[in-house]
Amino acid sequence: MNTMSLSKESIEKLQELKDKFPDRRTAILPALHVVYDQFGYVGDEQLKEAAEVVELPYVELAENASFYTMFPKKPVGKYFIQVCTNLSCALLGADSLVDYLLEKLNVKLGEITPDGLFTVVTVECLGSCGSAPMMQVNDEYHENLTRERVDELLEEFRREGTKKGGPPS
Amino acid sequence: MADLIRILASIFLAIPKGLATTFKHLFRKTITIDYPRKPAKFAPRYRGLHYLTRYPDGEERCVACGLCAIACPSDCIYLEPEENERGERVAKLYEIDEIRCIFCGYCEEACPEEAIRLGWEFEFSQYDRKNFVWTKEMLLENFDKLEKGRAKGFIREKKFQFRAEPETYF
Amino acid sequence: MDNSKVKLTIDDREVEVPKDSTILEAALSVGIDIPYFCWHPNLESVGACRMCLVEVEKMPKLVASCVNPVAEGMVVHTNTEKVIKAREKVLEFVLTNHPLDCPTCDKGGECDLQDLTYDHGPMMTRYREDKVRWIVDTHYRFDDLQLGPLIYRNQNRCITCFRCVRITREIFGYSDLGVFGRGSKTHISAPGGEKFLNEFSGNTVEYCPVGALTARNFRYKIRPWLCEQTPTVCPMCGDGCNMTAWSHQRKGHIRNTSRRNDSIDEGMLCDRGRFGSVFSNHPDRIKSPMIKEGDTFREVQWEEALGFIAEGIKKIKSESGPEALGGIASDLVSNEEAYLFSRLMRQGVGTNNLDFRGDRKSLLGAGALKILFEMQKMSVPLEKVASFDTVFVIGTDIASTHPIYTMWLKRGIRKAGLRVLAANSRKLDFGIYSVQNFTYRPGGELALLLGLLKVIVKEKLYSDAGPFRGGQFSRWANSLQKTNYDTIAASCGLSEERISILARALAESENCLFVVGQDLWEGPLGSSCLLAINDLAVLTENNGNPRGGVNLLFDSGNYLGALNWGLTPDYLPARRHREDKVGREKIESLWNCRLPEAEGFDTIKMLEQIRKGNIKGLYLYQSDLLCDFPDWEYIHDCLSKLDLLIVHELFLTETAKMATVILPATSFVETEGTFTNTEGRIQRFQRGAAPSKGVRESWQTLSRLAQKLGAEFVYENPPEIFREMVTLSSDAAGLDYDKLGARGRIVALAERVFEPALYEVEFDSYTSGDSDYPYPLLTGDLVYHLRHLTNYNEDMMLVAPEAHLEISPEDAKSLELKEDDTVRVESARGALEVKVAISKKSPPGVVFLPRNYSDKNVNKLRDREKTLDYVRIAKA
Repeated sequence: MNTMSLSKESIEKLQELKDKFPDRRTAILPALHVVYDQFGYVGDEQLKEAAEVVELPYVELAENASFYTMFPKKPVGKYFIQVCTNLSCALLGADSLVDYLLEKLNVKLGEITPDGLFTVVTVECLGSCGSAPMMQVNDEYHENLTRERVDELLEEFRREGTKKGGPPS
Repeated sequence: MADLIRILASIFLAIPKGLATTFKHLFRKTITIDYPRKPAKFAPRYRGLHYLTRYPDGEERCVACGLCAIACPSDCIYLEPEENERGERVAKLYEIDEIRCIFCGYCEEACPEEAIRLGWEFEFSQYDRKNFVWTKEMLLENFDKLEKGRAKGFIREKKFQFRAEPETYF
Repeated sequence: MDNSKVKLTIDDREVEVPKDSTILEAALSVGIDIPYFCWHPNLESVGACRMCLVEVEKMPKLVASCVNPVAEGMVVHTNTEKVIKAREKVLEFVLTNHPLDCPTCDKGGECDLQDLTYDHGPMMTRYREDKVRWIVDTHYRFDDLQLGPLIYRNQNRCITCFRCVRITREIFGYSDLGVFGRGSKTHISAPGGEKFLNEFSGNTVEYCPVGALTARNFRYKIRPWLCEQTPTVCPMCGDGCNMTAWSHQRKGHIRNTSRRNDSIDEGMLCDRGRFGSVFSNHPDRIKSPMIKEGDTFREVQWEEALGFIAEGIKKIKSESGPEALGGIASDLVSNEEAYLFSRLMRQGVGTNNLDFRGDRKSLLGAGALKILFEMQKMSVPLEKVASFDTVFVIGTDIASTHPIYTMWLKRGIRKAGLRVLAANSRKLDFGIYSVQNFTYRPGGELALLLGLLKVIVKEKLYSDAGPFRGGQFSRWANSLQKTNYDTIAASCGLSEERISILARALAESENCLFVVGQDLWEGPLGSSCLLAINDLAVLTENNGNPRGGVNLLFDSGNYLGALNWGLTPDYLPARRHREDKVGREKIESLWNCRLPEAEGFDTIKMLEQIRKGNIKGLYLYQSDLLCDFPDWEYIHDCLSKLDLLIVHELFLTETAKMATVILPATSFVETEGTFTNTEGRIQRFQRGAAPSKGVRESWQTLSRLAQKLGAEFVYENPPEIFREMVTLSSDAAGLDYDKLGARGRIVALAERVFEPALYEVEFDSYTSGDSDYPYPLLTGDLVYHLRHLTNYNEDMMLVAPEAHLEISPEDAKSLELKEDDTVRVESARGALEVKVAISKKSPPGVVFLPRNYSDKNVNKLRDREKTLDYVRIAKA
């Protein structure tokens, strides 16, 4: 399968979306989700393809994708680590946690580790202030973090990641 | 008789009296200066021949905004901007007609970059009216040769910068 | 639409406005000033800038007046302390990240943000933190990004009002500009790193309230306050948009901005007009008269040159009679100059050999022009185009030839559900707005029209009113049936089914406008097409205003003016026919002379006569024949045979290089006068820049030359010429030059019901190319290239530097060509090496080359004797 183009299922989903809403532009966000679900990011090429399927101007999809920082615009690692750096987390040491993560994985913010497993970014509040500091890895929250806990998690991911393979869920 | 004496006395006394004033001033500090032989001294804000300043690294300050030209009451400044290799706005032409200038200093006041200044130079007589148009090169030369030393401390040296946008990853 | 009115009070003033207007519109309508950035009369309100906040009684908070509709009894205050304070705070917010680099900003002096900050803004900022800066090139700390070849973006200055994006998308239907990111990282950009370039891109610069978008042609040029602004009219296409020409004492004419005329352009200009019409300040302008000596030109004084010309004309006249002389003007000259040139040739020289059309293989004769004049009376003003429910555009790529016309069509599509049906040999592209394309084969237009008539008659899609009965009609209807659909389909390339769809759409529409391109009516089958369209319009009940109409498009700035004011051999000024006694006498008594009686020649016949040696002297007035005429070898041969070739030109063109005498002409910004646009609207333009030293205005030159030839021309200025010429016309009589006003005047638009012509359409069946030369070659104007003029414009040469062969993606695939590959295009006449542009506009099997490129002239491939040229393409 060519990983750069939309799969048959995605195209079917997009075609379904096309005429689902009275205003076609309502389909933009669901369409972005379809693309994101397949690739794990929404790149220009994929959006152009999706735009043709849903018959919307490509620019409108691209605008919306750029508005939502939750959609990565370029490929990310298998484990997409988003660390909250808003107030509560920051007070409880989120910044040093980020530094620790970056140092440990030996990458910069937004980069993929050479083994293709991790990407670290900082994000705004994820609504888990009561259990700060926290991070979201793919779709899961990991709360009350300490350096030891981070080490543990990374170790776990690395084991899982090298064992299984395939795209991230 | 008494009158005669008084008259005589007034004649003979007047001379030393007058001379006393002369001698008094002889030892005072002079007000006039021995101009061509000795250099003239000026108030710090004296307005003489214009010059265009540079940054310490030699870069021209003028961005050719045209505010001096529009502030000028005698309409003696003409300038044209151009784009330099870094995409910045710089002056292509900067001409001041010094014979038309009334040395009011409005240009210097209007300048947002402290680029055009009026210096202390006043000896720029010419034989031909055409030669009174100072071009950009001549104005920069004025700064390099005449005013650089004198203007020290009067000009802000740092370039205005503002923060660059932090890198965005997504 | 609901027309009921609403009463409200704004600042203690009673205001009555239509129900669906907003508070801002209501306030502006009575002259109460509310500041705004993002609102624009042509656009939907978005309420992005919050500058237009006003206080409305009984509303808890201040409201944005641009998005709040009016209501009965509403009480609005625009000047309370609360409002003033709110404006100040809004501006403070807007300015937090604004770099305040007005000294280096090109918008400085005409910036809305500057003006409003001066009026309403805070005197000090309280923001002490660093401002956000967008750097495009980190190495050079370069802030400006070139969005497209003509537009620069400086994101620091942007206040995110989105006017540019909305104009591009809403009004013009293009999606090549977007808003990306959010918060302080919101930025305007072309999607996917593409170029921002469409035929209206310049409008974004003009409507940017700050200096975020600036135009290349004004970048670091001069301050706006040093320029003189003159109202003028764009000559670059037949729409006649109003412009303001900006000129500087030393630099001459440097740029144009729009001058809102709600009847024509609504404050928008296309790039060809905005950027492309700036050529008057080009250094290559001819600056003094020149006489050829050997291989070089010698600069001479005016009197010497005019004396030389007069001598030459007199000599030819005495030897071979006045018929041995001819004059060809251009369709870009003003009405006054056209009239003067006509008078010069007819009175001064004494010949009817006169024309202004130099770019066609066949020309409309006197009879066809009469039909044209009659049909032109059914035309509809531009502002009403959007109110039709169907527009049938035939025979033109209207987006290239009449960009502003498409703006009205797009508005119709957006607001009133207008349906655009396009029949052309190239596809029309309206961006996000839909057009139904019916692409016929080049040369198949008459077959298509016959097919349409046939379907309508067969299916009885016309009403049973008077003209459609009787023997004559049924005879005509029978004559249509002689040709069967197979022949038609073979000729036009559209199946019976497609033609029926189109015919039904036309017949069933409530009111339908026929927009007829110049390529169609001036093509080889022009007069037949005109008659067929006439019948079609009558049959579908669309004749006569206001229900329907036929708009004939005139592609160049003053084509209609040149027709009206006597630049054709058979029609004297004011459309008086040569043989019309009354008109003739009127002109003779006004001019105080005898008009020549002999039949005149049009351009094509003149060239034949030149070839035969019968015409020895030719006066080319702003006409670049060598570049325009569709057969390069032939025209080159003809021109080199002449004894006397007078070229009165702006630039030293290839034609001018062949001249015996060259006279410098003046462009539209250097003189004053009037243009007639495609609707027949006469509009006045004023003199914006002085011609360079020693150049006389064209009308002065023409008058002086006439005097040298013994004709009494005494004119003080162009208005005087105008006053004289309108007295000749029955339509334009009574027009006052000083009262033409901001909108101009439409003349000769009588409301008339048109008679069916019942024209029996006949056509030669389609001749396809042979195996040697399989591809039919279409030529035409690009949006970014017009005549030789845009060769002298930096912007246009940047966008369209050379001719590109436009081919369809399918052909590109079969020929294995990629974008920008060089190919050799060969016809029986010659060959050219050009680059390839793959365009969706071209249907498979048809190629297109833009004309009037002086270096890669498509006319070298064309043959004047063939109606359609065929080429072959090979990879070079």
